[in-house]
Amino acid sequence: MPISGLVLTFDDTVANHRESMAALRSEPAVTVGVASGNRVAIVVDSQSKSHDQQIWEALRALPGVVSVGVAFVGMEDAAEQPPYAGSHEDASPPHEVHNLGKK
Amino acid sequence: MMDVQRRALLKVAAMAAAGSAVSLGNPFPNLPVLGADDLPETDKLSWKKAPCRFCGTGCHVQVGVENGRVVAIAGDKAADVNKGLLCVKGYHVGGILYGEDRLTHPLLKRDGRYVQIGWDEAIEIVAQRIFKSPATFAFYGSGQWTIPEGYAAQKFMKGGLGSNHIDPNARLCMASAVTGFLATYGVDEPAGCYADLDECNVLIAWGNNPAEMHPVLFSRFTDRRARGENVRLIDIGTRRTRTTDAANDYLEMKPHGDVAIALGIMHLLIENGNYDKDFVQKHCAFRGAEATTPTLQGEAISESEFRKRIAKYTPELVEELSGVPADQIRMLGDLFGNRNLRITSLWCMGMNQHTMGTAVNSLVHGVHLLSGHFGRPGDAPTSLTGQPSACGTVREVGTLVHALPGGLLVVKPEHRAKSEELWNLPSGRINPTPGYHTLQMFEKFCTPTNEGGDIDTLFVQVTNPGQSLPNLSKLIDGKVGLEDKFLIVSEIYPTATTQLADLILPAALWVEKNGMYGNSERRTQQWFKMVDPPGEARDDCWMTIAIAHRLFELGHDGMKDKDGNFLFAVKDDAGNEVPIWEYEHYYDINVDKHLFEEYRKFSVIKHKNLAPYDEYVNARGLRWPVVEQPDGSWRETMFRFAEFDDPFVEKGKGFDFYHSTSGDGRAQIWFHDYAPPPEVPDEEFPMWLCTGRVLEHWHTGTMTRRLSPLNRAMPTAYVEMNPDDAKAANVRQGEVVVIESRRGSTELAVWINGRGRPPRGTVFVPFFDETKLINHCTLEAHDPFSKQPDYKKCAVRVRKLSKVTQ
Repeated sequence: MPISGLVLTFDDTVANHRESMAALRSEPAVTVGVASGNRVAIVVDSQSKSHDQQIWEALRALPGVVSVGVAFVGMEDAAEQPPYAGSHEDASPPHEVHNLGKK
Repeated sequence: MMDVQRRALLKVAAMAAAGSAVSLGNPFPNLPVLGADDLPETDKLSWKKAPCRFCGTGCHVQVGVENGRVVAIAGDKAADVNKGLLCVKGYHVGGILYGEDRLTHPLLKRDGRYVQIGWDEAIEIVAQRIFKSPATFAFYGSGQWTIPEGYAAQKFMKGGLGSNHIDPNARLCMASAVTGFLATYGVDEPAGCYADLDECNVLIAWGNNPAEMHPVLFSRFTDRRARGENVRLIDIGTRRTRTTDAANDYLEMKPHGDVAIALGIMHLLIENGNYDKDFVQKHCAFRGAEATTPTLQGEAISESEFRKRIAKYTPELVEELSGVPADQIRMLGDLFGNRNLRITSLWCMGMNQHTMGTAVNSLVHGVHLLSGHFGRPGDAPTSLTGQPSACGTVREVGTLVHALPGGLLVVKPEHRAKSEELWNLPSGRINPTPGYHTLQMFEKFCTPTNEGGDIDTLFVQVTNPGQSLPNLSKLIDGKVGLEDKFLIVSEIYPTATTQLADLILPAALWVEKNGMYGNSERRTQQWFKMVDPPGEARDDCWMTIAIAHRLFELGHDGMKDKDGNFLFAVKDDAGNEVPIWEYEHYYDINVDKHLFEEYRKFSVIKHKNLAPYDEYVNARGLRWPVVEQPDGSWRETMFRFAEFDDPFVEKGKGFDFYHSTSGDGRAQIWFHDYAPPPEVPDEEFPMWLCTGRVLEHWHTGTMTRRLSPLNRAMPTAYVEMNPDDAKAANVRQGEVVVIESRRGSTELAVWINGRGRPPRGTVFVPFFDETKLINHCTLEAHDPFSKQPDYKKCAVRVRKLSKVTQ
């Protein structure tokens, strides 16, 4: 599952966000790295895609976090999903139903 | 699952990247600082450079490969373009290779179903159709072709078949930028480069949303603010976007208002007498369209005639035409009248997808020339491109119906003769008549043969016209039921276009093949193949050469040079021909290098000089013209036409527009009258529709829709509505509405006060979603010179789905 190197930017110095930093440290999937000024480096090593998504949402919602920058992404082994059931078994045009203008 | 050692290594690399961004005093607050030297290399995991596969910015990434698979992506700190930063798409670029529905075998439609066939049969089918009727064959590509792929397609068509029916999807995205440059300077592509973003005091986004579409470039500018620099951003747009959020000034214009605004600025510069008289006198001439049959060259007009024509575009008239208050037009006039400032203009689709695209491009160049905001770092009119090689492949290789490599034209006898000489062809092989441009090509293909539809075989590579063309009902759906029409599509995934294909060819993607791209700032970039494509997927360039060789075997004279040799013959160091048309031998030799070395001979003709292939292997790209120095090194050029940097400007001249259409080294300041859009809202269709892109998805979403982090972030298309319009239509957030134009319709959920905020009377819909094809609604009205359609403005109505279905 994904490994990401991220940079969290707070609205002021990291030292003024003890609760958010404590929350970060308490998350087993997050490793907290160097902090400087209003930014801190973290690595997220998640168990699954859904877990990864939950962590991302939690990071964005942390009090004081103004941005989440991405520095590195290690890819997942699992194949990415197709976005829709595109298939060449059925050769019919994919978008006739939307084409009201053809009436 | 990743093994433990690799996970540990990747965690180290991830922390190194993130930590260095925090601790090393990086001037770009969100940038990681990471190069190949910083990355953990083992006997299993190796790193190589490549440009990103997505947009025209041309960021470089480091690609981590282990056991034949891409396992990690990092920003490349050695790359001048992005200095280690990547946007959210770039960081996920490796995943585009591994969608579970990759096309892996040639598929032929038989009796309404697709069956797997072998490559030999696939190549035979294509070659036989072309051999039978070469004149009714057309080739459609894109700015995603690598330079060698585009060059091979170009040579195959124009040098082999003697046909000019080859065009790219770049016709839909930057053709008006090309004609704007040609009309103004006599030669294509920006004079400046991305360094202008580091030097300007004022950045003007003309109908452009770089915060979402070119986020890495945008951060070069906004990060200067974070360092305390006083830089001003002016956003001229038809809706509020993330760029607006960062702007000092937001000038909301009516559709087509940009034409009036540019005219208004020039009016004020003349009226106030603060235009750059010295620069204009020495380096510029004035131009206007001919009264009858306007051409791209236009006709010379005097300065007094220019003054007479521009006189009516007072701030008050411009306010009426554009909707931008007169005092804000005066503000722009004052900025351009101040030579102590450095002003960069950026634009992309907003000014290009425009029925006055050539005109508005020329006018914005004219604003910079008239004001003298040109030719100093930070003073530049700069168009951006949307595709990774729209410049390198389309504009430089010339994969357009009228062009030959290196900026040459099929209509010019001397250009045809030169091309025939470089290609060793018999005289007269190249057809002097431009072929069918994109809209004509698809119209002819979708029209029954007995009704004048004289294109019956169409080969599409590296693009998805089934989703991206305007007015899809006419230009794509018309193919259904035409039994004698044959659509060949080379693709990586199933798309709206492959759904209509008669033959699907599985293609290699990005680092599954060698490649070269050319980005928006004239930077030519190179990479090597790193992993194998899946299944039977193969290089697009190989497909073209294999088809050409089968035609050669069938006896098509066009596939021979004037000595009877195969058009794409490649010999090894011992002088033996390498059978590169057989895929198992394609990588016996570097075909890209061979094609590029042949192509770069064209580049010197119009001062677009390229360096030898090997120079690009070690560089993170080089900006042309690249000129050899006395010590044997190769020097790139950041700023063209200016003596301080352009090697082709004679010392003492200051500036020299050496391909000037007036033949005297001068750039042209154009006058074009404002004209209204081709379709405007009325009682029946009362709202403007603007279409475009979003941060998470790249163009038609073929690749990014398969990246789960991006698709989760932006899973579906939507329609942005103004809250007052939504209230008036009794539509709530998330409710599904039907967007209808005179051409078609689609259903979308409403997003109110979302990422973009349109004014009353305007809706916006992104085009990335193949299940919600907004291009059923857009119109194919196009610029008369560039032939680029206008996707940014047409008339629609919005109705609640429940009302429509009642």
